[in-house]
Amino acid sequence: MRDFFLSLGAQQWVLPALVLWPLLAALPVRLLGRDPDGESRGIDARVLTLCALSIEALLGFVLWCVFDPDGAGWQARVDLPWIPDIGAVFSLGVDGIAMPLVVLTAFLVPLSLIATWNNVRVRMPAFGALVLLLTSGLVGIFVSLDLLLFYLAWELMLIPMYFLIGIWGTGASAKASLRYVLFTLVGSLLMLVAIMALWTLGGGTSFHIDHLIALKLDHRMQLLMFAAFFTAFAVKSALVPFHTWLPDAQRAAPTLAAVALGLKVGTYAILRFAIPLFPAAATDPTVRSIILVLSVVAIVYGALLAMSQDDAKRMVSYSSISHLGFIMLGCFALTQQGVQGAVMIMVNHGITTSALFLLIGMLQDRGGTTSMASFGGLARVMPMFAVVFTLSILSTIGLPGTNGFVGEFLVLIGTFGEHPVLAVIATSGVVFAAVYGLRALQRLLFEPNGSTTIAQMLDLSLRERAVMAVFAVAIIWLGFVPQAVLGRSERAVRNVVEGVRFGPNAAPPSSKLSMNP
Amino acid sequence: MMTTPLSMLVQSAATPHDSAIPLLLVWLLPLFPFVGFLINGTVALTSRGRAGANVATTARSTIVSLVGPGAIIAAFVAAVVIFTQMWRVAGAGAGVLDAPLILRGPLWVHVGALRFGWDLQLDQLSILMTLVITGIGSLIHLFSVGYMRDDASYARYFAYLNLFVAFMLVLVLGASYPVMFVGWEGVGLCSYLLIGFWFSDRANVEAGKKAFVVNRVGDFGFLIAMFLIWTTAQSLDFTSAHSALGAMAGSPAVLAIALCLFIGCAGKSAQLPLYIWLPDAMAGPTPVSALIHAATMVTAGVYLVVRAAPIFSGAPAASLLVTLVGAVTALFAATVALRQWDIKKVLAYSTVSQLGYMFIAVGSGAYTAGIFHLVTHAFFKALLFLGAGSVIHALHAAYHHTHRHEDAQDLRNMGGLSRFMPATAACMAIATLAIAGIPPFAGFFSKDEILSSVFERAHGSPLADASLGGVSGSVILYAVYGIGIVTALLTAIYMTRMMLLAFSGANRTGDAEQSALHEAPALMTVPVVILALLTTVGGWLNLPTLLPWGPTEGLEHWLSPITRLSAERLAGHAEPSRQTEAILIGVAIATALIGIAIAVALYRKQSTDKAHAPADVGLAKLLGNAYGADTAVDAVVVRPLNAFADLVLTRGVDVGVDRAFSGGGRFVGWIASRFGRDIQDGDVGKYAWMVTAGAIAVLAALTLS
Repeated sequence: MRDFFLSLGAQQWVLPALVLWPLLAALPVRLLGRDPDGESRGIDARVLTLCALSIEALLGFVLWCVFDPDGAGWQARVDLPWIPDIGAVFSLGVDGIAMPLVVLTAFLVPLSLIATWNNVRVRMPAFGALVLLLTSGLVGIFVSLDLLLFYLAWELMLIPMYFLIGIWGTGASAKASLRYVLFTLVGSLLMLVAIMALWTLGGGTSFHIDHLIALKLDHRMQLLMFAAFFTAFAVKSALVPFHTWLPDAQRAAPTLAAVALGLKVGTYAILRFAIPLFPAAATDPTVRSIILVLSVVAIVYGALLAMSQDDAKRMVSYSSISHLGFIMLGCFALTQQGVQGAVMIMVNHGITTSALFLLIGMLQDRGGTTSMASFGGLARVMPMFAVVFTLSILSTIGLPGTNGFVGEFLVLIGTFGEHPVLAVIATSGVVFAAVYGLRALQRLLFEPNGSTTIAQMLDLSLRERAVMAVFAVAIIWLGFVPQAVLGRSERAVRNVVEGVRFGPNAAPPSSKLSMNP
Repeated sequence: MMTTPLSMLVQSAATPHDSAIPLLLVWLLPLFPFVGFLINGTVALTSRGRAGANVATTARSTIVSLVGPGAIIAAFVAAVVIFTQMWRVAGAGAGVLDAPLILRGPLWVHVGALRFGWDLQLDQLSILMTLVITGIGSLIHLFSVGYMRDDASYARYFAYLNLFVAFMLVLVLGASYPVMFVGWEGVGLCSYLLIGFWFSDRANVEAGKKAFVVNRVGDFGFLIAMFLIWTTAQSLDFTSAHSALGAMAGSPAVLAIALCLFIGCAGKSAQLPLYIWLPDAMAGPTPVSALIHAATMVTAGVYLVVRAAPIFSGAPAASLLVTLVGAVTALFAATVALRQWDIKKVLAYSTVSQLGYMFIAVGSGAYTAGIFHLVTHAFFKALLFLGAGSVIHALHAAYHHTHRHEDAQDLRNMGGLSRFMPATAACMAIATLAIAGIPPFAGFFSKDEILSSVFERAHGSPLADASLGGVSGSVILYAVYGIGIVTALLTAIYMTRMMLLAFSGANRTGDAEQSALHEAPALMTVPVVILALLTTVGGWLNLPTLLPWGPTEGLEHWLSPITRLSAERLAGHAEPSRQTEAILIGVAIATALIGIAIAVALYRKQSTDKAHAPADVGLAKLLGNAYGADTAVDAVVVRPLNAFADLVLTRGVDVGVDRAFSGGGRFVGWIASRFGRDIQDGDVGKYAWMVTAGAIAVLAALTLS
């Protein structure tokens, strides 16, 4: 397969196609599509969107195939001229950290669209177009090597998301979408300033990460810029205490947008930019301690809050906040195990949380609410739903044998060597996770509440079963064969970890970092 | 990556003898039950109609009745074949099979120096555990066919039960801590699902959740132990980790690892203070209590201590703690069992107490004695639970017959049942004699070996010379022996009480119900009879050398490649004198007889049924409530934590954090409106949009230029 795609020159076109195809497809979907129930001429916009997204998934598959697990440096790299005056280049490339996330995105969006097929009935052409724009932005974030391009993709993701939540959301969606934009924007403006400053310091010739990473920056400058980047990314990843927008946004968002919000663009950016560009800042004992402590707080805090939510979507959001703590902990543990664990959780989280949001969305479609109190005893009426939901919850609470275990285990074992106390506190998260996870099972699946509406609810349809089967397989597959991701991300993570320790901007050897195999 | 060549699954055999062992069969051991799970699960998912109506056809339930027990019996047969070969190979010469056979499976995780695969380990201990699990598992599966056949979720029941056996086999066959942990948490999951099997009743679901969460507290310790093992030994495989840690005996790291592992053991094996989930776990169907909450899963902690013997024996203080916790738990649970009215609760506390004995053994380095008691306990406690299941089944049917809603598990509603169920009564009587410690039944030999091991180690052994918290090991071991004897007395009392209340005297079930009381069907009595047989002869597994009738110390020899070195590190080489041993045996038998006599004197007459019985007061009430432990845990841990999460965090802190940011946002907006001349209204949203639009416009202009 790999050879076939290589013979087609896939390495030259796959990344530009992944970024630009949805962008290009958005316009025809908007113009030619019609509402599912619409009277006007045209093609059902859902079908058009799905066609476009299927091609995106196919491209994702091509990328997975052509990626060389043992390859060094950026793969499938493409540099196209963009704004020569300021040295901005349309530069795309992936390594083992970005590639799994790109493939995940390329598959997740179409699968979510199929799962929520009947969810959106109004203004579908616009919805489809925005989803495509969003996909383009998401993929762009993961593959941009030029900081300006990255910034553009970062903002490109923001705008469609604002409209998706604001227009198709439920409840206080206008407020939630505005808060989302405000939180993200304040952070990203800081980042924009830092990008500009970095560009100036670099001689005003390039925004390319390879160029900027080689800059010699003094400690204070690194700290300032790291702060700006980190704030932007931490807000986007909903790190405690910047997390309050997430439950509101995911609660209000249409299911598909809630799934997209679960993609870990923020933590990816930290690993791709904030840490490698400013290693001395990232390893500064004070900075690192603050972030590590915040991560552990997030793990416990998110889990405790998830314990006391009635709304199922908010419960999942808070569990995400808890998982985010694990990712952040792994990233800043800066050991091979910790960072690879973090990458693993980014992928796992995309799978598991999406599965949960889609399942809860299916309940919302049937019962009109996401309040757990309104359900109960679903295991009797919707056994298929019960099986997949249980599996997803087990993955969320990190049961070994599911994908959820491997990432958390690696993060914790990678943190333990240097920060045993933090790792022990973080491990207590597994107990709280069991509490909120089983509480959700209890309230949704068991404990009948006697409502007649529930007795009438239909189990998953064939379409829903097909989609959820993909998620179920992924949860178990990555639980047993996590090497599929770990093996591919190893080299890239090694680059990051060693770059931080030995790169040009690394902290002087007096720093307390010890080498951990 | 997914596929592994067949040849990879079989490690090249170390010696010519090893090749006689059919290693590929080992993979089938967990696979058989797993396939059973898949088949039964499919039946369960496809046979449920709308609104949970039971549309299971006869054909479907026949499939379940065949596949459910069949999968376990197949695994048992495979285990027997493997064991026979191992036995022959081991008999061929000393030194063979001294090292475990590692079966390399697919790679699981390889990150940096951290590497572990889906490897299995075949050795004397894992095959013994496999035989117990699949053997007793087969009997309980057969019993279940009779017990659960009329349940609407018959297929789901067998799906869970098969899955449990699969995970349990992964637990004992895993060659590394992570693989063991898969089984460890997997059996916890199945336990959760089976305790809450009848999930329409809130109490059952709560009990399941409690079991899982409390086990997770233990698993927390297990996880920390794994982190410590890896940072200390740079490996998580049993073989290499243990050889590295064995060389570090006495170091603080080894002590810490042992203590953390023991937290895991205390959770899974229901030791103080984490025992609280096990009595509630009786909410599950009774065969589940027999298999999971008596014979197999709850003994996993004992297995873990033996498996990690090179670690525990390198940390004498931790071993003393294990033995002490075991002793206190044994005594504590035995006192509570004295005053339970629910027949399953008596057995549940009895299980906690007997598990305490096993920890007394493995903590004092008597690893074989611990495993010996694990095996005999599996025989007689599974028997007692299945017998209790038959009794409950009979009472339930009787009350169902007359449409009365009475408690079918309450001893006060029983009485005189031996007239209606003679076979069950006789078998349970054998098990009672065994657990009370009357020779020649199995429990006598194993319990005696535990107590005499403790006694002989209390003086002059390395363990006696060690100390825990400033108290010398010798003092602790003598105290543990004393507690063990007192517990033995209490055991004889509460078990005899239970038997008398259930089977002797006048029947209190109800006049109309008596006609409907009858012996369980053959499918249920046959497994019980087989277990009674095993309970009778099980002691032969490891007869003391004192007794010249038959093969002595068989188990000791069989397990010696695994336990001998570790045991010697704690016990030294001292052999007790024959005289001492004879005296200890005499004391043990006398204790049991006195206990039985006390119970007969106290409990021969019970004349009122549950509805008319006076409420327990005073000490009886205290014991009946298990010293109020549940209420205390609820008041001290559960409620405060929930209140903290809900009131303090969700309604307090989180709202506060949110307000702080909104307030900050408003403040920025206010500043902006002061400075921005065109934006006088302070609308943050508009401001934000203009910034975005501006940024994009700049970028667009640059792009196009």
